[in-house]
Amino acid sequence: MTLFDSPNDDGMITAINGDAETHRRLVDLGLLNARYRIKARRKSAVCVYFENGGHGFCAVVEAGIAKRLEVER
Amino acid sequence: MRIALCGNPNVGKTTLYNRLTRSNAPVGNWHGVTVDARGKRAKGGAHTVVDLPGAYSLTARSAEEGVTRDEALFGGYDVIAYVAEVNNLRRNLYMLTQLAEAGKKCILIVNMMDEARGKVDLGIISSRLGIPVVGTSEKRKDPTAEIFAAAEKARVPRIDYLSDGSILRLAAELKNADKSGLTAGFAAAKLIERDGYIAEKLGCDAAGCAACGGCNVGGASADRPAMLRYAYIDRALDGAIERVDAYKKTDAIDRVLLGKLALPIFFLIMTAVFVITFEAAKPLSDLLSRLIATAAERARGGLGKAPEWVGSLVSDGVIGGVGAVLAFLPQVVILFLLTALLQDSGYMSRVAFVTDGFFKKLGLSGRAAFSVILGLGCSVTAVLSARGIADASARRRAAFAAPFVPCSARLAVFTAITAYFGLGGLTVAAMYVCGFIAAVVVLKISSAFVKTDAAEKTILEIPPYRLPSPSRVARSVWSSVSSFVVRVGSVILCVGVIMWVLSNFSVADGFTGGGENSLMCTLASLVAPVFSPLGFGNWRAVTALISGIAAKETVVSVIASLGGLGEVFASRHAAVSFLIFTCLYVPCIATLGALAKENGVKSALLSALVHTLSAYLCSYLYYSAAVLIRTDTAATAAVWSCLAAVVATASAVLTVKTKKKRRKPQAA
Repeated sequence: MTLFDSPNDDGMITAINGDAETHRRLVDLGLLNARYRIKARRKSAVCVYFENGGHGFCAVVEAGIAKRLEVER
Repeated sequence: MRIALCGNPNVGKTTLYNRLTRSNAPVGNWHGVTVDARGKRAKGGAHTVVDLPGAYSLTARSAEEGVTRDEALFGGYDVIAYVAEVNNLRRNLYMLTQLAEAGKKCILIVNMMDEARGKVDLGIISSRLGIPVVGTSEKRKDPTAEIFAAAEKARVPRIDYLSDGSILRLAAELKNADKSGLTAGFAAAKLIERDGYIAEKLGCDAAGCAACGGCNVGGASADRPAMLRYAYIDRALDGAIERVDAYKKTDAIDRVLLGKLALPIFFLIMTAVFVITFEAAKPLSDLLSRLIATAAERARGGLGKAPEWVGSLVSDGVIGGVGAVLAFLPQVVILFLLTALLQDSGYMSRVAFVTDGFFKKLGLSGRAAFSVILGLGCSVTAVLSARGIADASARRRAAFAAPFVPCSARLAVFTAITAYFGLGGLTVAAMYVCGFIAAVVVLKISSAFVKTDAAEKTILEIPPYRLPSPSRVARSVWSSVSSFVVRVGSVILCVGVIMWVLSNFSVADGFTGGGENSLMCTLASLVAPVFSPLGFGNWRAVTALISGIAAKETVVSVIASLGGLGEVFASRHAAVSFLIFTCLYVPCIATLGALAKENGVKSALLSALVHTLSAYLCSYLYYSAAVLIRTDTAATAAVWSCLAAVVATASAVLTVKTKKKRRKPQAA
């Protein structure tokens, strides 16, 4: 189950798939093992609040990226 | 000392830079405003401060991040003043750890302290990182002295994770890290992460080091340095920051503004901006126009004893010309005020999300929306902001299309003509729609011929909503308006005077007082017949358009110095046709220069051609629909039929090309 197609609006990111470049970028942003809350969904992107270590930020995640973030509740 | 301001996007580096160096570099509450390194002597003159573009990591993924990486690692700065936002310290400090690995002397500036959501103890953070930490905000006293005093005590941040087994083993093997200007620990950590750029710098086989395939690429070991960095940051911040979730309060606002009605709401807001800009400023603008006209008359009367040309130069060339542009200062101020309010509230940052689906159909991503919005102020900034787009061909296409968005200089022309002919604020809004549609058409056509990877390879951070700060908004408006006024006093004055000379003198007779035998009339009359089908085939209109190539505001000032709008346009339809032409024709020299720098000279020349052709076509379509069809129906019907055939053929070609492109992946 990925961030893009998850029926739940919140959960945790358990793995980051895809090419090395994107993987590196998303790990650098601290998304691995981060909790998330979806604020809005569109066909091409999702607006998500991420929290890790008690600190959070909001971001627009393009659909292609969102499909690479494996999540669980 | 040479000090570099470094940090994530949106942390306030450029605002701080402006304070430290008394500059007016553009700022914005979104990603991609600073796209290049800029340096200046600080107040006091002892130090040089360089503002670097925002980056999340020293692993660069865009042109602007590449600038930051290269400057930070190899720029030879004495100190890196690392700027972080108080409410995002955990993520913001990530790149600081990489700078520490690279052995760079740093200080930490924790910015926006007045907006801290919880308590922050900078002393604890300083003692754990081992470097000076300065807290700043716009509302606090000038931090210049404190920052420079801290810079004198800068050190390499004290990190403890480079002794991790995997990094230590690889660092010991590296023999040529020093020769590359890198520390062994930093190089080892980056190689474990498969950083191709660093591998190339070390002379490693970049393809071998960076190549990977399948999912979960790199495995746990490639993520190890990142895990170590964040664990270190968590230890450094533990107990130093009170944790608060600021986004929860504004979830309800985002559900509306980012929901199903997001795009219509956005268009409504922007239409309201343009209509308010025109209607609210009209009374003041009219008053200014009357005052300027009175000043011009009195100047002419006061110079009665001077030669006639002196009176004409001062009254028509200087006061009339510059005054014609300054009369629309109220519109410019209101437009900048409204966009500054939207920027400061945090809404503009969400525009990328709102418009992402729309731009995807044009082969771009929502990030291109920033170029559009910046283009409302200045086309040069819009072209340069395209650097934030990761994909090279998408970046080029966005930069190429950006000048179609009418800038504030064109606003002066729109408001002058619509005010004179009583056309209303919706006509001004229509011009912006016209420019935007032209940009969309260009993007759509280019997407059929140029392959782009519109998907962004990363995520776009957006700030929480906040009440616009009066001081921040006032500073932003002042910065934009003062640039506009300085431009009026320099470029527009010079061009206006030159145009006055050419329009009021002839080789044979000297001063002619603006008659039909002036130099400019002779030159412009050669070209004027080309514009007859558009309704403004006279030398005055052509002269104004020529001057607009230097700066669009001069269109207004030149028309004013040549007798005014009533002399130039025989009818409202001719005026609207001219408006459409001005909206779309060749961008100013500064914009063409920026485009040449970003995309190459050929692209800039192509841009000039495409702009002029589209301006001519659209003006002709309007004028012929409005007027010609009543006077020469057969000829006009023939031209419209040909145009319809061309459009239909082009649409068919594009449709076939698009379908072929879509079918290809399925066949594979």
